[in-house]
Amino acid sequence: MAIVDYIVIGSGCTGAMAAQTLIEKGVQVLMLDGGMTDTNYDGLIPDKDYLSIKQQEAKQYEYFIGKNFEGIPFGKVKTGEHLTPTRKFMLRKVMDWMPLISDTFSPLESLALGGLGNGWGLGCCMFSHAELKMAGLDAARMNTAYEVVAKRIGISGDKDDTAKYTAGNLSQLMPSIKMDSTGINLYQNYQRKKSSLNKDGFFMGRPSLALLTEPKNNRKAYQYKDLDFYCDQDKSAYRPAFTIEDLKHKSNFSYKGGLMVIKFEEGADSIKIECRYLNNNEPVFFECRKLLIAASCLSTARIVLRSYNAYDTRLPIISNPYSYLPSLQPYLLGRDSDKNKVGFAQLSLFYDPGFNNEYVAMSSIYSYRSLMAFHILKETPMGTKHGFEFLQYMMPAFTIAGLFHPEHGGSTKYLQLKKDPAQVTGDALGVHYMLTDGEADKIARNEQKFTQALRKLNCFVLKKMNPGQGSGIHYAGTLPFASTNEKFTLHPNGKLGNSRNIFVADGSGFTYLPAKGLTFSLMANAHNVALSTLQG
Amino acid sequence: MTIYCRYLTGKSADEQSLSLFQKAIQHEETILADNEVRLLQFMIRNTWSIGLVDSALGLFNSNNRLRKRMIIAFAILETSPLYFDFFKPKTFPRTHLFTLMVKGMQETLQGLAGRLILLFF
Repeated sequence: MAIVDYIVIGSGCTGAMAAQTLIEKGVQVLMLDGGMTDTNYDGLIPDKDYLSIKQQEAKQYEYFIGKNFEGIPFGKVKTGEHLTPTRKFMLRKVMDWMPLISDTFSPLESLALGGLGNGWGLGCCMFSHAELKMAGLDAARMNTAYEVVAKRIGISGDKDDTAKYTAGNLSQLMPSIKMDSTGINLYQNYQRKKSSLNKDGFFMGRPSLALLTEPKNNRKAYQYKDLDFYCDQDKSAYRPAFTIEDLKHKSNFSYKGGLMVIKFEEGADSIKIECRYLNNNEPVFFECRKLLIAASCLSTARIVLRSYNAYDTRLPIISNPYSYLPSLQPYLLGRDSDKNKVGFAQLSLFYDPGFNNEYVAMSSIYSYRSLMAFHILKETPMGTKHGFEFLQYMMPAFTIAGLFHPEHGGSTKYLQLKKDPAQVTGDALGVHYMLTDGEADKIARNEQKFTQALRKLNCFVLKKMNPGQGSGIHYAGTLPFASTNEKFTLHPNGKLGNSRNIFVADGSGFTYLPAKGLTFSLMANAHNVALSTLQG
Repeated sequence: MTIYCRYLTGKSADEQSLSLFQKAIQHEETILADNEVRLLQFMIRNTWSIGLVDSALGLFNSNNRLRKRMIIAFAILETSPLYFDFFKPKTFPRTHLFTLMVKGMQETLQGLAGRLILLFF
């Protein structure tokens, strides 16, 4: 078995960024990955916009509701259930290889090439100085890394009222995408009532998105086809799989998919990694001088706990509480003025009660169409016929506000790896995630504040939906940053405590999760961790 | 599916939609209990009752498997170009709100009447 310089585990946003940094520095990298790809729907969606497909394509049911109707949620809706059929490949083999037991936490995990990045909403926010400090990150290094990552992936946005919360102050920024009527009407209302909202701590602006509005390398500018939930035809939306595909052309990069990393063992000069093939459970071993784990913090915790035989050891976990507020803008009722809607977030609304960019709650504003009427109809307390007549009238006015809250860890939020011979890995991850009464109250107050702010914008919340802990798909803090070199912590440079050459490049070290989109900061940190591995 | 399609869109169901529906209802969450089978047979014999039962299930029993079947049928029709004109986004006059208010009242009354039917099954 040849020993490679570096092994990177995982091909999601963090693995891709870390690998790219290492490859650019000329070292030899082997990436080990689950590598699931879409074998059912790839290439099926024609190069047309959503309405043209609806009008012309007889086989549209295949990708809109799924060949096996997997796009129709039959039973209780769980996290990930709302993924469209063409994105469901992200979940393949997860239940088998990443078993999770919890009554209080329902996360989304992936074994796909590109990981959860395949379904990323593209929101890019730079954490403020105070947020970076609370998360355990070095502000100067992170600000440099944000620029590096932005240059690689391409970000569009605006320098508006929210620039200090988003990534609007980056030196290289493409113009924002055009809004549809949902965004335009709401933003016009904000401009009129801005002073009153600002006084209450609310600021609205265009989100920074990892979405091209100008061509970049082999990727096209956004085409407004309203198929954002189904495919990445023009590659305008950044997906980490694009980076991996590019890296595969480099002579110092190799990729092995179809693998589950089980554990590592650090020796005097090298690290031995045990994997299993996902298709037959056969073991396979690799060896490297330095190991970078970027498997996402839940999987990283599994690997680390298993490697140290630390079953039943409690590790902390942080996950942003998430809720969403289906709302109506009455002015838009019955007015279908958009040929092309936009599936990505069109506006961001930040609540900064201290006016110091420290404990900020964030809402992303979306319109609704291409996910189709039957999803909403199912939740409507009406018959399907009259219910649809109401929906058709209301659809142009439908506005979805997805709401994230900042989050600290605590003694009621932890995970443990438990032995479970029934599982293919021989264990299962147990997660306990409960908010304290004080935290729950604060979230309820924030939701109330957002409801009031939206009302000021003539946007009326119909219902508050709480899909449960873990549904925000932002996880961190399982191996918190510390300078003590203790087991189950990370040095601020990403090195795993009590190890010599094992680094963690995902969000496992973050000791605080701001409400702002996490992914951009994860990628910037991964770049920094990769740089750290090259030193010494 | 045949009667539901006519009830919803005013058109006959096409072959593709019928065959997709037959495949979709094999899912265990949509297999009908005995009383639901009897209710379905009643609706097929008395097509006037479909609207009443549809409203009643939406209002009072949204977990009913017949309702789930209606949602499946709806999803299949929504993704067929043959019914595009029925499902496509439309612009309505401002006065349409009053039409909907009337329909809302009609829906409530239908639901109540439909609930009486459900009592027998």
